[in-house]
Amino acid sequence: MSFDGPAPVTYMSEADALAEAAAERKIEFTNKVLGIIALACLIIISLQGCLLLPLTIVLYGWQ
Amino acid sequence: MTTFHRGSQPAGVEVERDVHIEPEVDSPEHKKADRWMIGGALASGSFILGPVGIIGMLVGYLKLRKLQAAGGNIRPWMITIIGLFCCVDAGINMIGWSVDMLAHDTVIGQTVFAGYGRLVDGGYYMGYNALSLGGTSFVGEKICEVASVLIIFPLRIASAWAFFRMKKWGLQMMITTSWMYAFLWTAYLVDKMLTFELRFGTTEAGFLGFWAFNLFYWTPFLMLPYLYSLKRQEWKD
Repeated sequence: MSFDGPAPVTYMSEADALAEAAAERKIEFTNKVLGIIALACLIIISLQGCLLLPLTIVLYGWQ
Repeated sequence: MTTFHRGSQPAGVEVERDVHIEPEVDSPEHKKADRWMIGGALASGSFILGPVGIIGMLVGYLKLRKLQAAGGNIRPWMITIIGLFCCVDAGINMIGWSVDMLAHDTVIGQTVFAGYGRLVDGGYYMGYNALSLGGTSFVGEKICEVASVLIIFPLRIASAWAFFRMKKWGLQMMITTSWMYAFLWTAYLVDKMLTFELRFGTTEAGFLGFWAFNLFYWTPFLMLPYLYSLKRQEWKD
């Protein structure tokens, strides 16, 4: 089976299907948490990019 | 595009079908919003254009929201956040270190790095511009800087662009460059440890100050679990 090929057709018991759905929900939840953390970090580093130069000028003046 | 994620159940049971709709990332409106966001992300890493960069990213975000409200099929927000995070991080590191590498004699360069050096990392204050390449005189730091400015961060910005376009190679390069960045973090921290007293014993914010400033650049460790959870077959060639 090619890695990029179409999704395989498989036979799956109901228990397996439920377990897979639960695992997918867990991944979705984890990704949501990662997304919130990434967004917070994105805002902080963007502000750092804005404030570093003015902050150093205020604290120590032009060199 | 319709994909069958799970095939035939036992006879008589309805076949489960998952309909995957491809986002229209190549539409002119989507591309325009992306240009604003990526341009803003790179500007926010340039020290001088930081505020302009934030405005640029906001304009791109509003354009995407408008497109979504008008019924457009936009890229998932999680991909946008991760791609932007990668772009801002790589922009700040690449442009910041480029200034130390190439523009260490300018007023802006000396002002930023003298301030940063006095606050959080003495490697950018003590003996600044004393060696042949200029900029920081700490050899390990210089090695990380040159390798990153020339290799890792340009690759990372290119992969963030392709990730935004939802191309397979963009996803693959995001994973590859995340591992390269993890390698860089390891080398960078070992270098810091070897010159710990000199670099952190003299700063105003100390070691905690260094982490308070730099912790948020932990992109590879945050991104890799997410990137490996994506379904590659749903991305474009």
